[in-house]
Amino acid sequence: MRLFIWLAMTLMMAMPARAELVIEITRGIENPIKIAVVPFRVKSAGAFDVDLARLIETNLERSGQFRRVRRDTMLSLPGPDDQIFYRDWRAIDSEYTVVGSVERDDRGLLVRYGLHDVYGERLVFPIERLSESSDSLRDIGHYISDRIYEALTGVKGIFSTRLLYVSAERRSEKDQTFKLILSDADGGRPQTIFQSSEPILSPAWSPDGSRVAYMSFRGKRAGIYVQTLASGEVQKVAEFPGLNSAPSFSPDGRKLVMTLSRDGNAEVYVANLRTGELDRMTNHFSIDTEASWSPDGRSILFTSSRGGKPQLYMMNLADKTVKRVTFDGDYNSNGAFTPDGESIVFVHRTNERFHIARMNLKTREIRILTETDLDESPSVAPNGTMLIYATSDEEKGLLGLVSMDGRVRVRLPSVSESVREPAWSPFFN
Amino acid sequence: MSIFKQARAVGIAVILAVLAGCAGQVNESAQGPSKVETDAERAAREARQAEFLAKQEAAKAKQEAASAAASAAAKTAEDLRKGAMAADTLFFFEFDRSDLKQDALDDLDSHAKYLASDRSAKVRLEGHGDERGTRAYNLALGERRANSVARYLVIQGVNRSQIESMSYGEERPLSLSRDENGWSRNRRVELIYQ
Amino acid sequence: MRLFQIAGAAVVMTAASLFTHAEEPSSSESLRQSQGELLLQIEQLRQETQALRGLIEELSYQLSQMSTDQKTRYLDLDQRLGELVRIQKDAVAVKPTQPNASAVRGGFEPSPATQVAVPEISDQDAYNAAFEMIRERKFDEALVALDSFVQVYPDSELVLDARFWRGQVFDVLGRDQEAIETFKGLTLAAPDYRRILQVKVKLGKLLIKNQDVINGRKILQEVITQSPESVEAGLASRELEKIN
Repeated sequence: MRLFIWLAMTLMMAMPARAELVIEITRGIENPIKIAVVPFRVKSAGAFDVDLARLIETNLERSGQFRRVRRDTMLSLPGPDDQIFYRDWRAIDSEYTVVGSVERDDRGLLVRYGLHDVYGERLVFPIERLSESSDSLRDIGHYISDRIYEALTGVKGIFSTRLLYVSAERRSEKDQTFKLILSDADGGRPQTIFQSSEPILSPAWSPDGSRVAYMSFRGKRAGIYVQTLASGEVQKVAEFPGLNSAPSFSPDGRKLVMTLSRDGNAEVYVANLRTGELDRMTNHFSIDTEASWSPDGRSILFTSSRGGKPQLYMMNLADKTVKRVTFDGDYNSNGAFTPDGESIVFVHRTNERFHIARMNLKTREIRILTETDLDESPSVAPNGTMLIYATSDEEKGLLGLVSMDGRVRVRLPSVSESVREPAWSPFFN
Repeated sequence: MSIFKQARAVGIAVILAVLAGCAGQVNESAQGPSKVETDAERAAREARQAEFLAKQEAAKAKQEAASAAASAAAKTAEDLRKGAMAADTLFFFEFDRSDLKQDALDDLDSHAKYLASDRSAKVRLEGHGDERGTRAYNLALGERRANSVARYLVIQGVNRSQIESMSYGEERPLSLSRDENGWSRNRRVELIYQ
Repeated sequence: MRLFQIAGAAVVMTAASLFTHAEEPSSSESLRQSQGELLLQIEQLRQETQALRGLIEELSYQLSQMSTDQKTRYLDLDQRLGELVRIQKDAVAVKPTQPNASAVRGGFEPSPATQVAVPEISDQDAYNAAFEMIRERKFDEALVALDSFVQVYPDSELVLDARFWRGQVFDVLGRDQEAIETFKGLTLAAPDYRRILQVKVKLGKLLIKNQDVINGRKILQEVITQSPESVEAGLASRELEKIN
């Protein structure tokens, strides 16, 4: 028994060290929904290495729209089948209360959970059960978080989505290790999917989430690679002399827009992934790069210095006509569309500082979303509520989340390595 | 111009040789019936000898001059190499710019002279940027900087095939300090002999 | 034969140029130097072109913004003037015996303050005179005239119109706060005024422009619910769209 407790404790303590990112909320909305997630009742022998209730409350809190009710203030710890005394929950200022249980038998895991509306004194939805054959409590926790988030906000949750980012460990200018890391949306379960002593840049998801594209070097040659996540199989898409960079998938997943300098200068090309056919989109002696697709697939947004300073331009793919999009600030780059196609997010320089900004394409109103300096690589969550971006403190690169109105900011400080170039996955279901 | 001089010299030599041949024949045939050399004949022979000697002298002088020139050339090649090795291999740029600074040109000239003199020599140009601005853009900017240097070298007589250029963008900073001091050191092209 | 000659000449020339190189390094040096300079100049020219392009992009954007703004402003003014002319015509039709406008203006313009004390001029005439000033874009004088009108003819049925135009003139002059006060006063004092929808749209726009988005939105919303089919409702919803 003592051994068990010790084991459970070491497992628990191992968690944050294994997780590359830890959440820290720097700012939230004024009236978050207060939610109490009661520790899930363990109904079988043995311990679990994931505290489901903790995972769920942390997830919800990270959205900025919820605030957890602390465990030590709870007057009772009911399971899914116990009667709920709503008055007790009102007393500790909880608006919603989550209860659940977890057990393991020969067939796998069984999790049951329910969501109580404290003021309405009822279940928001009937008690649900999840059975999983594999040991994937984290998946279950993320699923439950999504379920609760959607039930209470009406918006699809993003807790089951995943992140890609690049970590770098520098021993000297020439001696560095770069890793392409795949993790849960909360930074948990980081997993290196590619590693190199040469830089890795611009990871990008395919629209179905099955493949990722990135730029890396083989020896001294830059190339663009597409890696299938399930099999690990890698396809070389481009390795022309000069630049091969900034890949981005078309919404139908069949094409990749990228930057090549095979014709002498950085230009944007579209590659057909099936036929390998290349279509040159831009032709200007300045830099054209960082192209990304609009959600309807009809245009691309890219950075160009054709006007002397980097600015964002939009190209209509049907006739290749180009329109400048940004006019405020002397440095606007690395643009991406929001999922509804109505706004763009990009890196914007004001007063010598680089921030992430959002611009409504119709009204042209610009809102600066971040406050730190050297913010870059914005990547919007598939439900369009938040974006992840790269920033840094004195020593190393960090990732941050910010809601699309700029009101919720969450820092994801890394435990050890310097991290950058985040890319938020699409929905997997 | 000098080819014509040479051609003329060769032509004269040929004519002289033909003449000499004819003269020889005449001589031989003349030796038979009479061994007496006329004054005119002697004068002509002496003149020929003198001409021959003079020619020999000239040829020798020319050879000496050529070998001296060759050794001088060898010496300058070594000098050029030394000059290139002593020259700076880091070239710096302004923010978001890829045009060469005036003070880079002298060092680049030294590299160009050496590379033009020794076609077997090869260089790699690595373009870099500072951390400000976005990574993919800086990658393109780094390439532009490397290309700026490459173009200048080519115009100075270096073969394109002697140059390999690439960009690391902001991924390999020299300095980690986050101010203009550090940034200005990171916005660079490194010239590396292979 | 001819070809042969040409080829021969070419060979000689190539050879000649080779020798030139060997013998005259200084001239090739200067060629390279000038090429190097050309390269730098081209680079400068490119940068110049890029900077100019950027400037043109920005200027043409500003120009298109400005012409859109101007068009809206023109349409607004045109609409107001049209209305003014119509009202005047109506007035002429209603009171054909009025003294002619220029005579009234003659007495009115030099000293508007004294006009306050001259009640023998009919309310319609005073009102028309004030209008004339708006039409001539003498806004400051028009304001004085409209103020006087409200004081001198407090019971005139034209008093609401005078207040309405007063608000419009404040708006034209960019005196937003006074315009807001005037329009707000109208909405409170005369909810059934025939131009109340126009007043509300204007008020809503001004409030939003002056950072009171909540009340601005509310009042625009009111216009839409009050009279969803009206032109003003269309205007209101367009304004609302802008802030969403």
